Amino acid sequence: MKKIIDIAFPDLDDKNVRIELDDTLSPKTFKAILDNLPVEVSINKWGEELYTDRTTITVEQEDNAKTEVNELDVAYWPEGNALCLFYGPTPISKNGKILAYSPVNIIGKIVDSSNKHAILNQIKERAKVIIRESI
Amino acid sequence: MTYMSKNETKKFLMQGTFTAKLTTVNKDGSPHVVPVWFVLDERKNRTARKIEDIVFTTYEDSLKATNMQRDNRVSICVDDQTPQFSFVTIHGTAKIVRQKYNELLKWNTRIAERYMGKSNAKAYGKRNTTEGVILVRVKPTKIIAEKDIAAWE
Repeated sequence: MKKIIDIAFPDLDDKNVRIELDDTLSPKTFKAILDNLPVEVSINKWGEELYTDRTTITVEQEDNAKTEVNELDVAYWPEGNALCLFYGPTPISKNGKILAYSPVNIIGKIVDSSNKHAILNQIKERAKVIIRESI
Repeated sequence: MTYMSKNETKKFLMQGTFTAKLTTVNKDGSPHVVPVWFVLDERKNRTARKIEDIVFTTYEDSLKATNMQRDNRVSICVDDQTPQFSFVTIHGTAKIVRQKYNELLKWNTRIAERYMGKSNAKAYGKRNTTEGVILVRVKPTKIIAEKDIAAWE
């Protein structure tokens, strides 16, 4: 099953990043996210990864959790109870691979790659975000 | 001098009340060194093949936190200052995690137990879990661990 959600950035003229959630890789996380929306939280940067503060979404590491991710992957980081958006290398990336700090449950993809330059690169540390179902 | 094995390194890092001397990079590129209380996240890697994350807490507006937010590269040195002298230096990448109160309290209690003893752990854990405190994880990227520095060959 697939579902579209939005991450809105009120500090950036309420711009939105649209995400397509997919339940095939991390079904428990998929459900937990939808059950907890909307989520209002601050966001942090770690290289070209955006990750939220701890959320109310609580899921264990799933069987398919992985450390190496792809550009524009969206994931849940069990260790930090955080949602992560990967749009480039992290501080521990090597040989062109995008590496998460520790295994993450992949939950979907950023729909529009142009968001990388238009929005994700512009986000400032501690910006507020609202994660909600797409209208 | 001899090198420590992985298990010796882990044991050494968690020995007694050794503090970590944490170095971060100031805005002008100069180093900033401070001692911190820390623990290893031993829950994370039970296979003992790797040295686990170094975990400590600090105020988010402290210089070290501000430095790590801007530049995630850190170095940590833990040393035994009694003969025959041993040390572990860790180069790593820091990631700041903003925890909810209960999770932060759990970590601060665990850290306090190490440095202030079991009977004081709860009180110090609570004392150190206040507004603006953040958790820092450091993933080791390079480890230098030497023991018995003063020993004759």
